[in-house]
Amino acid sequence: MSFDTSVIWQNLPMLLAGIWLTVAIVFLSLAVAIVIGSLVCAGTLLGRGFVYDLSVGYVALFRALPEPVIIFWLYYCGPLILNSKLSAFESGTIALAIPSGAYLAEIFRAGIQAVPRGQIEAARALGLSSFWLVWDVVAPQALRMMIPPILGVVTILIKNSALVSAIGVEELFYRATVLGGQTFHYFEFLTVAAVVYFLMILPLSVLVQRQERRLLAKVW
Amino acid sequence: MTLNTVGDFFPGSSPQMIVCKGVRKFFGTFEALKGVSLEVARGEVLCIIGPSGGGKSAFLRTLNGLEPFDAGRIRIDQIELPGTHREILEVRREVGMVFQSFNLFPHMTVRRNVALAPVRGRGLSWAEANMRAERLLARVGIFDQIDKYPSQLSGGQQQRVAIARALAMEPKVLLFDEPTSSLDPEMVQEVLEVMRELAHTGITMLVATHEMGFAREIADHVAFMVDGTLLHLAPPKEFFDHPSDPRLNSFLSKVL
Repeated sequence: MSFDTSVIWQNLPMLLAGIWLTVAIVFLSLAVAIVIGSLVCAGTLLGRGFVYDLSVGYVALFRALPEPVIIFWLYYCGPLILNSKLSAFESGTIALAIPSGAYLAEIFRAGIQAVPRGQIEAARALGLSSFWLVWDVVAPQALRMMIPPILGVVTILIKNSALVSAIGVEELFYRATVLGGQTFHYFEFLTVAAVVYFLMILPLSVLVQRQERRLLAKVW
Repeated sequence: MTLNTVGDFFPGSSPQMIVCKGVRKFFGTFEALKGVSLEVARGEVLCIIGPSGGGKSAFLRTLNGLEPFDAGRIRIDQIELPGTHREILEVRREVGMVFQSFNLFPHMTVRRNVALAPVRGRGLSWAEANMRAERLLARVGIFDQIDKYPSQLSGGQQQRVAIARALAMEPKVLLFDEPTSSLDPEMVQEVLEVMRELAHTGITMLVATHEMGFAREIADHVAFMVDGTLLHLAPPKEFFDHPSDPRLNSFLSKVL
């Protein structure tokens, strides 16, 4: 079996377009997921009431559904209940954001609740207003604890972005399989796709390890 | 020590810094404070002793609005609790608190721990607040550790930073909630030494403590609190040498 690099160079623009779309999907879904996660987290922090039930229900539901189910459901069933039909790209991006938002909500909640009670009391005892209490005391400590699990969600999001190829979004994995089919050079194109995914995720893994070491060492 | 009229409670220029009247606090069905009435004069040092779970901590925490109470009234200088959100913030800026577990902000340097509140609450610039922090940290003997993080300091050093942090707001009252209880024995003295110096500066201090020697030495009055009730209040000599209350007697015989 020979590895023919020339087919890769010939089809480089197609592959780069795929990489670009993958990056766009990841960033856009992440942005939407952060908005969803923040709102749902705020809901779960309420502790009771209708909004709390709704938020807890959201997390329970979308953590339980396989990503392909959400992707297909939104793309094929969404138009039946919504007036407008979303493009495959829009639908796929939102579908990826929905479960990521559920995971982020739980990460945000856990991070905020992990800030010791004594920290909040000390800030209150100093007469800090609610804004500065969150800004100076709660958020910096919570964010540091959230970084490793958030990067974990981003890692999974990058990998799951390949799933939207199933509804025809022309991202990296879609391009690799189509080019492989057209040229019968599956080996080359799928290997390239694998390497690109790995290179996207590698820096995140390094960051996670470094942050976890820093957390263990209690160096801020 | 009891107060009967609003006139007593809100006098024009009162010698009292703190006046409490019938303060009650429930945790669920458990009554942690069963109607505490107390006056503390300006510049007075009051030590509160008593068994753990007797309400010392809960009482101190009602004085800066950290613990809402269910009945009674508290006046701190010119502000009455329970008050509006704004009034509670103002009380907290006038009443510093030092905790048993220090509660320094671990993600900030020692300097920033002390400088933070004056910037956020008193409108100082960072330059002014840092200068104030340096001055206070020198006073509590931590000046050479100023750029370190709390986790790099010993317990005694951390507690001295916590005292400097409370002083940075230039409070009228300082509350100490068992400030030496979580310290190794060899570090207790360095913290008590700082508190001893403070006691002579004219700041009003309320100290919940198990350090009887310290209470006897620096307190103007010593209070005995048990089961959410202030059972006995007297100058230290009378308090320790002639304890009139049988429960105080039995407590003192156990701890002395």
